[in-house]
Amino acid sequence: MNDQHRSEGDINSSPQRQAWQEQNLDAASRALLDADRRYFLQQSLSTPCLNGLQHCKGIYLEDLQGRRYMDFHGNNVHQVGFANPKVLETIKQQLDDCSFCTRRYTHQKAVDLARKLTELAPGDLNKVLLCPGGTGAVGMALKLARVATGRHKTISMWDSFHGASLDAVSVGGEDVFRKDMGPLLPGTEHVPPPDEYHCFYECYERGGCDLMCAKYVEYILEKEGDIAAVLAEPVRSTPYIPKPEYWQRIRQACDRHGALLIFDEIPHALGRTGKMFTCENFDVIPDMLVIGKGLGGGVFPLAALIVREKLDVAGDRALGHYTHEKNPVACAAGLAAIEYIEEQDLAQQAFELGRHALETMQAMMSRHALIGDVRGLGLLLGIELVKDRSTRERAVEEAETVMYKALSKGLSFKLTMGSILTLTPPLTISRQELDQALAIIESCISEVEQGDRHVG
Amino acid sequence: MSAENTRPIWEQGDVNLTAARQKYWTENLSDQIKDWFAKDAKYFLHQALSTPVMTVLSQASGAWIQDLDGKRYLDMHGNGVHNAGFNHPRVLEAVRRQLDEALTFCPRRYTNIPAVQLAEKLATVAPGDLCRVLFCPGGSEAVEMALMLARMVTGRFKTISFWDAYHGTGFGAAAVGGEEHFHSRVGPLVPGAFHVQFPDYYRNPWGFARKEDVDAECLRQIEQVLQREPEMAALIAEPVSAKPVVPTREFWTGVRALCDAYGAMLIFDEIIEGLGRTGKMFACEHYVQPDILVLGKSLGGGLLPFAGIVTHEKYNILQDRSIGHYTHEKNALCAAAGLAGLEVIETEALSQRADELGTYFFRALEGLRDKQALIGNVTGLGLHLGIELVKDRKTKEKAVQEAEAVMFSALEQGLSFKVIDGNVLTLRPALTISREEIDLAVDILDRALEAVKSED
Repeated sequence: MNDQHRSEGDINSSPQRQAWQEQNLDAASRALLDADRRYFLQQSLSTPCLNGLQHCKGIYLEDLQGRRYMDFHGNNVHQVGFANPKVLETIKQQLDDCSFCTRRYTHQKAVDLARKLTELAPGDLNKVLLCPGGTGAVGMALKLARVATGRHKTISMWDSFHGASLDAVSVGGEDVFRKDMGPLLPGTEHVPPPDEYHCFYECYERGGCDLMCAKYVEYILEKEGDIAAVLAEPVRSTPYIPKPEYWQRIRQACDRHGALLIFDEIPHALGRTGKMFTCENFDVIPDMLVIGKGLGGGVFPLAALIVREKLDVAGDRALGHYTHEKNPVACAAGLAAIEYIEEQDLAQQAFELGRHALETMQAMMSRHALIGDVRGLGLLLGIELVKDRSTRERAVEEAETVMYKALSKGLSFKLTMGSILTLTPPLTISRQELDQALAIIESCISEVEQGDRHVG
Repeated sequence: MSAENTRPIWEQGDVNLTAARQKYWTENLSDQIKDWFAKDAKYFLHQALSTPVMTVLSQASGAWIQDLDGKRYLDMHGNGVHNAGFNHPRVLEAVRRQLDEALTFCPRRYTNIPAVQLAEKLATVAPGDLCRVLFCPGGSEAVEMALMLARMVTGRFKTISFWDAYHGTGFGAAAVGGEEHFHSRVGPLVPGAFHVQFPDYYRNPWGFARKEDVDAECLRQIEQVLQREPEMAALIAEPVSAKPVVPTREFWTGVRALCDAYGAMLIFDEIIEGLGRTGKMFACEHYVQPDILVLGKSLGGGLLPFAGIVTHEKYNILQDRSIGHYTHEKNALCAAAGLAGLEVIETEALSQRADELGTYFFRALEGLRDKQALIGNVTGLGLHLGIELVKDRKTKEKAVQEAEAVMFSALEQGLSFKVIDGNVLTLRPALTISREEIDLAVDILDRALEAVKSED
């Protein structure tokens, strides 16, 4: 098995997956998976699929055999839970009213959503452009950065994911998307991410993060002198959570060198980190903010680019000529989701539950040598498994086993970097359900520590 | 402003900042529309071909759109999503049913029955052995998936595509596109994109009147590039251009043979032309079979964003690579809408209808050409039609201002269409349009042309 393919998500061809499927799937589920495998082009990280679903509702997935799984992954679209009643009701109303708007015209719902986003976004992030997917929004950001600065180079991070198109994989840092793909966009410098636990500069040998990683970004900005933009996820899904000083320092360096700072908050904006936008945790306002995923209310494909007022400079260019730029149903769904997040105060809920979860995870770590590190910001949580705490060697096989064991106990989550249990539950989860999920994880870890590798 | 100076901004659609549009806004927008219109301009990032918009819509249904004041327009543009008509009851019913099923979003590591059904359906209706499907939210991303697949299959990266073509806004899609709007001032795009001329039998730089001469010249250009750049991954094109130009069968047979000779893949972008528009389910059925077929727009049933590629079994070679890591790859709601849209196209025999009504419409437009000297040429296939306006039929000088004036006059009379290349009125109604509605459109065009003629 190739470790290099483990960055973005769990791989879809491991022996543990096979074992899990053999023990858990009935004939109907297998027939659906066979049909899926028959008609879909296979690619890593998706097809062949793990299982078939018949419902996604609240915090639960339900498979064809009626088994329910708490979903701590949800491709990060599920801030308000799956099939949120308010979102669904809004969609139905909008279908009755106006189901599509061609892009040379506008629609009230599109305007309402744009206004809402500008009101929520910090600082003078006041101009919006919509498109169906985060990848497209990243492309629009890159284009606008080029038009606004007259430059084309970028700095982005290894291991990052910004989307799957040729431009997005150029700035992304994962070989599953880049390797053997041939020439990508020119001028895309990459730097190591701020990952204190596996720091490229080995800061852990010196007592923790000393911002060497930020200094390297400053160094490139100065050396190249004509960088258009620094593009990064303020917090990586893994999660890597840098110190606020990290982003503050890079923000200042960008200003010094005339580069724009673009934050890709596609997976984590809209409450997950305990704030409406991730950047608010760092007291840094980017020049452009890209959001997506949960913006579609957990139903619709919808993404947005939100930029500072002064960047409204491309009126004669086409930045994002997307058919669904003004889709009223998508916008109504997005508005409903945001309203729900506000009404239920889900950002605050994420903050409080996240703190509680992190405390629980820290206690788990004190009981289990397999856990090398626990991290979190709001309800973006990670448990990193290691073979040995001193060498920090990734416990890849163990993590894979824990994941499938948890699945058998009704909890679905994703692995990143092969060894990190990445936990992003719906923000609507109750404290009791969260405790239940963490208890499942702990019991799976205990079993693996005791040498039980059974995944059924 | 001289026509020549505006040349570069004619391409993909009508320009949104002309004097004629200003006049239209002044004379036609009610206070309530102006209010929303102003908010749209305030909150959205401005870009060419969309913001500022034309007006504000309140409904889209069947072949019609309706503005906030209740004024209805027969829509001959629809951004290409409305092959089954806007708001088709069967599509809406399928969407509502899917919402009630509580299976809308499906995380991409799982599969579900609607997604598999849509893939199966496409594999069944696609020509020849095109049977492997991959979905994503938008056509731009689907084009990128096709380009990435071609790179993985051939181990090459260069492409041939056509000037004036539009394939999407991502940097990869924009690179193979051939429009200034998406190329200039955005810096270096994806490398290796060679461009040649698309056949144009009415207007070509060589003054050829015979189709075979135009074909021979265009094929010569392609072969010339292939001789010098034999390591070509793919040739990507719309089988019928958006303008439209309808190439001969001989042209595409020649291109197919050249691709085969040099080991380049043939990618057909049928985002606009597929799913019944040209009188067959797929435009390529008039010509040759591509290696990859790209679909979008109407694939979302006229209300949801959905797109994808369909390719041969033998290109199912990825497994350890990811070419389309799209969150909504398996969105059950989008798939249900797409499936219902396809069923409408089949059960209402909309391909055949496009063929018959297309012929009817085409003849009516030819009749119009006999009485309106402004019409230089009428082209098209099925319900994908275009009227080219000229100042003089001999010199074929483009009647740009006249085209703009006709567009706004028609809009005032309740007919909406897009102008392409500055002087081509593109007419792509819903395939559910009636004969009477076509008659109405022809009458409005007649009156608009008459009014513009008398202004001159």
